Amino acid sequence: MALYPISVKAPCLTYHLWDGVAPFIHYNDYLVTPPRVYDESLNSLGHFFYDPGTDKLVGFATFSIYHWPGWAVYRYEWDPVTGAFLGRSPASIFAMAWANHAGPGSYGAIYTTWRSCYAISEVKSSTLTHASGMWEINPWTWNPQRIFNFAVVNRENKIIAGVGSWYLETWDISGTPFLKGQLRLPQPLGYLAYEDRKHCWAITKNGLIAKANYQIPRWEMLSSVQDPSPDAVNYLCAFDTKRKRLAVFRQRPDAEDGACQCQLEFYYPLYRVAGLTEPVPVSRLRTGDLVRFVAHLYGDTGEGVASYLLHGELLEPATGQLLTPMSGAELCGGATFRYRAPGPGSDTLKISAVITDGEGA
Amino acid sequence: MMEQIYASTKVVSFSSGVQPGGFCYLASWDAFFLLNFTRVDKVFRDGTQVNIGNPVSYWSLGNRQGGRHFWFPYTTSPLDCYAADEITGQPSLAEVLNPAWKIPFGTWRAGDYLDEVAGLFLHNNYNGLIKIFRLADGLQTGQIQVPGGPSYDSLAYVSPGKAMAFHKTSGKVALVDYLIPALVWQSRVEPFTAAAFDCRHNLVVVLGADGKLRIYLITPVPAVLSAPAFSPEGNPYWLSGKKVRTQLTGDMGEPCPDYWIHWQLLGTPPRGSLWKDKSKTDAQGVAENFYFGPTDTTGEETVKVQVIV
Repeated sequence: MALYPISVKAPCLTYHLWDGVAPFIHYNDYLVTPPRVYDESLNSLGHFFYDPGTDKLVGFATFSIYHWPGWAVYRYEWDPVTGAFLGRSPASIFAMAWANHAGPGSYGAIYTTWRSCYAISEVKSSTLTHASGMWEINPWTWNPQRIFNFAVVNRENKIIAGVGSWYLETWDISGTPFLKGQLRLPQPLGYLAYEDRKHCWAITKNGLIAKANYQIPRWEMLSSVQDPSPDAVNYLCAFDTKRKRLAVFRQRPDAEDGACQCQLEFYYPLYRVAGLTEPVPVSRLRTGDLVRFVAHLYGDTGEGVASYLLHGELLEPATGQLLTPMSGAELCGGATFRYRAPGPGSDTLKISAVITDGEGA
Repeated sequence: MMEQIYASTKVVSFSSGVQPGGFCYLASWDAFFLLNFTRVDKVFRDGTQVNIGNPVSYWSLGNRQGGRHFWFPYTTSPLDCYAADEITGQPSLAEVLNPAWKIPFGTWRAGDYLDEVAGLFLHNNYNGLIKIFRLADGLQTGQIQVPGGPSYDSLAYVSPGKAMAFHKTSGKVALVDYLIPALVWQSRVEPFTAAAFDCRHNLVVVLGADGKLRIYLITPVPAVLSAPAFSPEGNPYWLSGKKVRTQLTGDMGEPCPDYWIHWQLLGTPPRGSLWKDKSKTDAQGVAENFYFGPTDTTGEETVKVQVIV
């Protein structure tokens, strides 16, 4: 399964234009040094998630700013359908300094790991603060002890899926917590997003997207963002549980004039075809023999794309006979064509697939 | 020499020191897993290459029964061998393939082979020696000595009980039956950087130093057609048929199956007769026929065999 891109909102952040007035105390002078014209710049988006309570995409970001005190923390909201910017409000530095990576989990609540301690806690969506009475668990008390940077909380099934560094770990917390299994991440993690009681999504810092059944655990697909940009600083993802689609925040460096180039991308977890390999012979090339050719239909990360018909055609002038004019792609995306040549010569085999709109590119 | 049927026009990029065993055919992908120093890739036969992640530092690969691969951390010895996840190709820590016997230092190399179904571990030793260990307790149950064999770089799954050994600088390959255990035959391809065996289509696929993928049939290019001989030896007795055989082999003596051999008697007119004028070589490269002698006399007759390559 590959991901099918729906839309892109670029840029998804707009910086404040500098009014040309230098305050008595100012910081980060590079921000207003020509050709830059904005007095703020995104440092990092620390949290990015879909808030099912408000049906919005939410992000918490730190900024470098020209004015005192030189930095700022904002809570952002975006429309989960279009990616349109809905507003931002100042937030506490502790939402970034203490809370690590927040996201939704069971019962529509928001949970976060912490930089200030090892717990995983339910927090308020608006401030990322934990209040007494809210759910909390401390993986440092488990055996072996754990520190998670990212976590998915499934309180219904009493499962925690967490990432400390390179492994997505599943812990059963129904009794004494125990490690059910580990999945190695293909690259360093950018963000982890909860989908439902079984599934979560991981996006890596280089833009690979993986879906896991964290209850087993096992990987169920590996794909990537569309057109990964080499200058991307980071990727974060959030799963819109209402519309069943993935939102990706691509953080890119500012433009030359200081304008924000970050963008929001939306994907359906549907087939998307990235390419078709050339047909390659896999049997002996002999006059009169059946010669088999194999071609593959693949997605963004080489994943086989099945359920499509591939059409074969011998280009004129043809001397041989194509015995399989069409062939269905298997689970691995491969399709086999059979050809027979009556005598010595050369033929050109052309393979094509019709990918209908909405199912692929 | 094996028969090459394809060379990719696309070029696969890889690190100069890529491990010969870091290139594996995965049957579930019908494509190849390439381990580089800084990245892991999925590679299709036509050279299409897609990055699917980063490698685990200080881990290496071996081939596994069934067209799969396994990982092991080579800085810690004795070794645990881990199954690979079939979606990402990354190691799956939950599945240790050798729980009863950790593989000690000196009995493993990158590119070694593990068959957890038969409970065996094959280690490429030196000078054509392949050692076979039992996974249950580490007992060496046998070995295969390939005559004149090099120190093979990797072993790959061919079919149940059979594996192919690859040597990159000479291009030598050897098919071994590790259940008997015995060498089945040897052959060679052009020297390469890394090699894999496509167990679905029975193909040797090598990654050349120029980055091109080359595909070879498991059958060699015919080089020698032996003189026809009676089997068992001896003269035919008048009209009673006597089996006559010829063998088609490659330049290293490896059998060439599935070739039509044409039989002909050169006498004018022929004194005896042949049962068939064509027969096909079997898995051993042998084609058979029957010769029926003349009824009235004794003498000599010449049997000619030909093959169209």
